[in-house]
Amino acid sequence: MELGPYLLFASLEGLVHAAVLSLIALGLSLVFGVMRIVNVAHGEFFMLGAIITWWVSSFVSGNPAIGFLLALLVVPIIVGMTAVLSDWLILRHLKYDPEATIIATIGILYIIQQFALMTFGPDAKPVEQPFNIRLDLYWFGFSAYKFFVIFSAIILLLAIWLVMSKTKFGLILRATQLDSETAQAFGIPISRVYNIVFGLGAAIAAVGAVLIVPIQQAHYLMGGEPLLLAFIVVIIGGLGSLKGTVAAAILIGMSDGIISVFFSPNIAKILATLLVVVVLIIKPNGLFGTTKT
Amino acid sequence: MLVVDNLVSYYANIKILNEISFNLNQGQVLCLLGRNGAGKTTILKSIMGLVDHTNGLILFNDEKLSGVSAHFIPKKGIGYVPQGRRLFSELTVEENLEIGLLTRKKGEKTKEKILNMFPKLKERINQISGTLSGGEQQMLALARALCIEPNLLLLDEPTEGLQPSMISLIRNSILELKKQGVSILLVEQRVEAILPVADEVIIIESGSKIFSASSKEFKNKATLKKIYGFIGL
Ligand SMILES: Nc1ncnc2c1ncn2[C@@H]1O[C@H](COP(=O)(O)OP(=O)(O)OP(=O)(O)O)[C@@H](O)[C@H]1O
Ligand SMILES: [Mg+2]
Repeated sequence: MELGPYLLFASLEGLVHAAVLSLIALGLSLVFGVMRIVNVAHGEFFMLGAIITWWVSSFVSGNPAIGFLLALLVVPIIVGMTAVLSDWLILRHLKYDPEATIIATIGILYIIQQFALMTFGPDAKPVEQPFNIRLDLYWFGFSAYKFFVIFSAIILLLAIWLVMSKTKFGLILRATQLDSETAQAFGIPISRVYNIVFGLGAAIAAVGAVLIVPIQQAHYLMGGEPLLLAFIVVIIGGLGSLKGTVAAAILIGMSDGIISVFFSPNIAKILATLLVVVVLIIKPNGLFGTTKT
Repeated sequence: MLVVDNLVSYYANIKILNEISFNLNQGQVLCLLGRNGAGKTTILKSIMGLVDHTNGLILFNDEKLSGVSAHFIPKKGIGYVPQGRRLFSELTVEENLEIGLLTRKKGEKTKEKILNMFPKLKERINQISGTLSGGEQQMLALARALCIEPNLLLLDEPTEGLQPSMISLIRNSILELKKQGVSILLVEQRVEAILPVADEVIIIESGSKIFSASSKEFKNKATLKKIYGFIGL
């Protein structure tokens, strides 16, 4: 293949990465923004989404699209409920203390990971693509499902943006994020808001998992790398900023995809981490972060 | 209507208030005076349920407020203008008012009424509240609290950093609300600006109530002198 088409191919692969990464990072950013806690277990909620997708699709025989659609429906709910439960059982008792919650979410990380190892096993398992169509793009063929992943992520991101900016629920989340004490003084039950946000953050990551698993296979250790990348995205995008998170996810996801295709995935990670250092030196609040005291 | 009886408040096990007691009747204005760090804000926050731990009794219209979760307090008809305004600075004027209206089922009428009370805010309805001038921000903080249609209004230094004409505007709003039967608990540093509207004055020093006087008394020059002496002016 010539350089031009090869670059196009790499960019498309990068976009698929970026689409899923922006969902994962958005979940992390939402939780950090509203609750002011760092959820180290976030990648495990993503992994949990992937292995439950495998379960669902292996229970449903016949057309793989049926299992996929079912997974798209139930997996975010199951993962979200798991997160709601862990908030209710653990985090709320720590009064969302920033340091204590880091340790606690590390604990949740291991509990979910070991649970997955015990039940799902140590091997990577594939999930069939819901539809197997190759689009002929003149120079190369590209999976239609990958376009579907990009498209779905865009739809979900738009929906989240609409909810955050246009609905009363979004207004309540934004007010809680800006000043939780004053929010309470106007009748916002912040512990319930936190409970919902923690579940929502995990559920959004789980949608990413359902979308990626037909391409990537499910594995009990698959949560680590997306967590690292999501942290990089959230730091570069500015903590708690929706717009910044999506922009940074596209930047990191695309460059990760392109560099991985041309050079190697390791070089992509090194460069992304270097970028974090540079951004933190030049703009300590991230590219889209606002200065807050 | 508001009874505070032997209120003791703590922040992280540090005792801030010492057995504070007072009553506030309907349509009355009670003014809390005291030095920086005396505990005035802590009294208001205790009523709003925003303090880590309190002992003693707070009654509002014969209902117990102590021990009630903070987010239920505004639903009982208590509006709060915090010290330093505490607007949701990245939200617009309208969105700040929407937050104030959350406890109300049908807020449209209230919103209209409030906006007519504050025409300056109406002009700037879509402006990000953090970019309003200091005076406009204070107006918005008051307007947001009034969205609750409160029977009791807690005002924490509403004239902080305002020029005289703005102060008189705030004073007039307080008088207007008082006429409508709203009770007001007011924290102030500027004695001369706000004394004329107060019915009763309480002086707080290191978390204790050390002096109180009714409106008739504080119009007396000697008492006034005493008050100025207490707060070190
Ligand atoms: N969140 C908190 N944690 C610990 N201590 C606090 C907290 N808030 C207030 N305090 C302490 O409680 C005491 C009373 O503070 P408060 O804010 O009630 O004073 P104030 O009378 O309102 O003062 P000012 O006139 O400066 O507003 C102070 O010593 C303050 O340091
Ligand atoms: Mg104060």
